[in-house]
Amino acid sequence: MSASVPLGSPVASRRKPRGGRLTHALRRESRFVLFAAATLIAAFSPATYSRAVRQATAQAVCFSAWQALPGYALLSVLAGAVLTHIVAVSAATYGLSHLALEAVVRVYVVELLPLVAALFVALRSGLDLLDRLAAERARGSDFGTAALFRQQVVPGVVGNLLAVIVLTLASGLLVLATAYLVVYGVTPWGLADYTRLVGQVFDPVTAPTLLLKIFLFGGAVAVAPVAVVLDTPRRAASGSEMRVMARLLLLLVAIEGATLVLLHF
Amino acid sequence: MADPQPAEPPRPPIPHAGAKTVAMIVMTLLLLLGGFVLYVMFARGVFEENQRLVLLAENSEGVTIGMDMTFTGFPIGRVRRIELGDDGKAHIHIDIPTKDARWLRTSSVFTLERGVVGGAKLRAFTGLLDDPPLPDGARRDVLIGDATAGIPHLVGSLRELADNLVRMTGADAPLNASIANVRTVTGAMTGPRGALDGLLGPAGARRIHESLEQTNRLLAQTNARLYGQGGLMDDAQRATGELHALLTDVRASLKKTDALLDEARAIAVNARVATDDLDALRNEVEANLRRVSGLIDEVNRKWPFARERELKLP
Repeated sequence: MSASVPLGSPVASRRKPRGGRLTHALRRESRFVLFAAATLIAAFSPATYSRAVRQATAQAVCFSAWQALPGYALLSVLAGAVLTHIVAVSAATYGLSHLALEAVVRVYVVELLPLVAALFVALRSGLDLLDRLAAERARGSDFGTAALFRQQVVPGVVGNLLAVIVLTLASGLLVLATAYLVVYGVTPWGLADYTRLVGQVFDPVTAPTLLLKIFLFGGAVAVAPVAVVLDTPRRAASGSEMRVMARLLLLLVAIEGATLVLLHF
Repeated sequence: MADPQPAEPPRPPIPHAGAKTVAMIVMTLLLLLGGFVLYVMFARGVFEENQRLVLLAENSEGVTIGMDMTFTGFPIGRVRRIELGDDGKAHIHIDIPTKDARWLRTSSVFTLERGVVGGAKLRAFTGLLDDPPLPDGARRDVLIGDATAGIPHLVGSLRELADNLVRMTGADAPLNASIANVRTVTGAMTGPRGALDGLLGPAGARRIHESLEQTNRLLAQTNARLYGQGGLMDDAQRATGELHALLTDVRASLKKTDALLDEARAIAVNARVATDDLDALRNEVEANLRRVSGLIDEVNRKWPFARERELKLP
């Protein structure tokens, strides 16, 4: 990748935009979108991965996903077991125990786990990446050069993207198994019913939508922190965490809303 | 332009990062993602051989793609498609795994039940498992049992009942007039002649009253004639005494008759005994006669004047 990365900062100029605030906002957002697209293309381009970049990417992936996986999986399983037990007991109270497992799978596995995994990665490795890039940018590093962009930005993007995917899929499958054990116990005789239930929940719309949502969450969490390189050095030095995280949260909510619309309307 | 040296990360490098990354990517793509996709495909019956069944329903409300059809509580089929047929009925296409199709026979009955709470339920009932199996692509009508279908009728009935109540309780309602009449009647019942005034009116009550007085007088006269001095009861009592004396005489006559009959019975016994003696006497006489007869025969044989018994032929 050469100097095609659109690093013209959307907030670099304090001049009043000619087209008013709306045009200015649209132009700024379009630069973010272009930057995100260029970053993802760079991340998926084999030419990006020189030896040094591969090593840095491996380090980033291990930090974001490998080290976080055991703790996050354990927490997810514990939370899933507690939630499943609460839902199962409550549903049994109202004589609706046959709906408990479906509710757990639909709400916890399909809706909550991807969002929680995205937020977890964003707060853990996303903030770390954001701080390092902001410090670099504050020192005046020019990420418009392809080499620095590949070396500093792409590994973090790939690491966070993979982390969201791995954490979501692993914790989701573990919670599916945990919910079965909580409801049926250690017995194989509920597997047929449970498999049929999973088949009903993950219909031809829900399953691809869930996978799409996971990838979109991963992309958002991967790209949002590195957008700090678009800031001016002075603005990057002033602290960008809240601004970037608010933007990321807004993005995640938009993706969640869009997938909900896709699933249920 | 040569790549600059990578910036030194603030954290210590992770050992075997490359191998771990490869392992993680392989695990994610192959095991997690591939396993999940395969499991979902298996759960949705992609790898099963299915048999088709089309259920025709008047109303497919509550039926959703992917919902189960159960047989004795076990899911044996899954709704694959719902369409509005040319006959104006809902056509519910169901996939039944071949291994579960043996529970469905030509005599199977299919129902679609909708409860007040929860979704619709498709159920199959097979009474005769010896019947021929249901063929592939069979079309069957589905019986609909809707717990909420009666609610509109119930609401209509309740509304009609409420209207009737309003009409009944109106100012000019017949029920009000009836209640006013009842009040008039009960008011009359509190009068001197009591309930008769309320039931029959003043004239009728007066006639009843007069009839009762006449009946009382008639009863007094009857009492005097029946139980008075020289009344009908005295004559009856005298006649009863005479009848008693007559019966006493009859009893005495009957006793005499009994004695006569006893004597007659004794005579009959004596006659029977005499008859027995006569029988013995007759037997003895007959025996004597037979001996006399034999004696005469002997005398005739030995007597010289006995007749020649031989016939002399010329």
